Amino acid sequence: MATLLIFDTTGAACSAAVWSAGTVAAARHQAMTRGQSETLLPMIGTTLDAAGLSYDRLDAIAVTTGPGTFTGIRIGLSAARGLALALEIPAFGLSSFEALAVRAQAGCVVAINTRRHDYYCQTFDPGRFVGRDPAILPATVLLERVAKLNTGLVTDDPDLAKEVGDAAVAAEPPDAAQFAGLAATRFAERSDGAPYPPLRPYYMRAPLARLPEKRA
Amino acid sequence: MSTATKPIIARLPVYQFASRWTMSEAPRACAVLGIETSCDETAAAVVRRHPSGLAEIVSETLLSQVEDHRPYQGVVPEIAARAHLEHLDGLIDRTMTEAGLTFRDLDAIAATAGPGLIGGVMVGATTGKAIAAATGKPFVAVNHLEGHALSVRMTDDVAFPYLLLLVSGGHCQLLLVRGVGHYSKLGATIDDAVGEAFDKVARFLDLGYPGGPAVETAAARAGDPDRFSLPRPLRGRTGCNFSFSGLKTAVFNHIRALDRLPSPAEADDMAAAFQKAVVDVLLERTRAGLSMARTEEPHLAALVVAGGVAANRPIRTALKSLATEEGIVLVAPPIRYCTDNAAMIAWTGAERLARGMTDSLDFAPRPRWPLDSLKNSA
Repeated sequence: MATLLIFDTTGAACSAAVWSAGTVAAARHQAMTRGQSETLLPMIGTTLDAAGLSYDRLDAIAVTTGPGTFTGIRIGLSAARGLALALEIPAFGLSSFEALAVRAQAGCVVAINTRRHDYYCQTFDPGRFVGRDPAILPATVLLERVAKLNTGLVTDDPDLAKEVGDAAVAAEPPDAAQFAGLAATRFAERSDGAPYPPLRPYYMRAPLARLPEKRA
Repeated sequence: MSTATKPIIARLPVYQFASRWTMSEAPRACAVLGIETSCDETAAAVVRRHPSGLAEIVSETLLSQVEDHRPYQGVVPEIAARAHLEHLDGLIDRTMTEAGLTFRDLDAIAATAGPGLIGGVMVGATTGKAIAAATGKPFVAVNHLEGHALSVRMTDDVAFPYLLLLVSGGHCQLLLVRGVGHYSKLGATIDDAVGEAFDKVARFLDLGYPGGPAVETAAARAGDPDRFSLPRPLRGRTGCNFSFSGLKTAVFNHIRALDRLPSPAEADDMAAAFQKAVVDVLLERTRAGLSMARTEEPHLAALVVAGGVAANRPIRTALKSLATEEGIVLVAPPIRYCTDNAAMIAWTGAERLARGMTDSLDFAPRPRWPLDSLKNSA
């Protein structure tokens, strides 16, 4: 049975989980809007300690690749790529959409606050943890989509959750303990010896940069 | 005028500094991986520090992002951070392979933890922490400026104390370097960094990017370097602070007064006038800094110049004559170790490790981190 380290820093939290013997052996979660860079590695250490495992027991690393805050995405991916390189084990990604969609078994629209007055969105059909139609939408369009599909909403934004009322699931950022099982399933599906693709960030948005004005 | 200082003093073996080591644990060579991601170069290096204090650069890789930023005529932080993440682990892998070492063979992992563009710093520091955590090796959070300050001890045999002129795109300072972790700032720019002024002037004159080499090349072509007259900010002022904002504005005003784009010959002449003014300012302020430094440390070993702007040949030449006049040796690391590189980060990590100065994995990367706030090496 696989032993996995799973973590997330894409939202307003830092979380880590160790999956071992088919279950979450230990997990940590701390809400924070900044400071993941200081928190993550010590948190991984205490989570492994709590599980009674050391780094060299790990078979793979799973990390959320975004969307989310650009800096948060990079902290998670830097840690995952650094650990994978030093431990010589694979690291693979789950999107933050998938990490949140596990909260709703009956299908949902996942909406992650971009902090720029709109939402990263993806639709998940019932019983499937493969999303479709990723997009960046304003709240109005997003809510229309939720109403039209007559489905639930999973979001990290408490204000948006309030607008939807009962149809919304806990307005919290991703939590490694919650999507550790999905990571384990993904790992089992791929355990055919095929090499993993490089772990890439899923920003969904190009960098903000303005080209200088051309001289006359 | 002071007398010539004996330049080279043999360095003491490391165990005389590190009192915590007993002779039985006697010093051996330490191999340190260094990671640099604070601006627009992604770099990794392995440096071995021998007990004698001798440095051996075992392997190094560097990937410049200059082409990524060229269309913007300046470094775009988010583009830089994305590129660092994209390439860093591959570069580290290559560096280790070229060194013929595994991570288990290392004695520590050192990464730039500031100051710099924080998005990139986070990538390098987090990667370094992850490798340190996975291997159980010590982590050293290196101040990028300390890397520049100590790089000369990697490439040349220079003893403490020395006066450092640090000139780059982000900094312009005169520092008294007394030991590892022991710095006093004597003066610094009160507005723009000198490299920043080069970049802006290159942009005004449409000379290309990056601005430093572009201005230097244009200045070398100039037919009449005295065609434009420019000010020498803070000349004669007490202390050894710098200012480049007024100089930059003077260039801008000259161009505006032309009421048209400068001809190529005018642009070259202006570049020459600007560079000459910068040289004068650096010389005059460094001379003031030297006299301040000698008041505090009469046995100053050397004048050291580092940072990207130290790659400018006229500046190096002028500092050389200043040093001769002042009876002190000028030491400038080779240009590749003046500009941003990972060897200086690995070396600084090794110097700190040798003194028992390591950091925990909860170290917070910082965009601002003045050198004189560092803890002393005791």
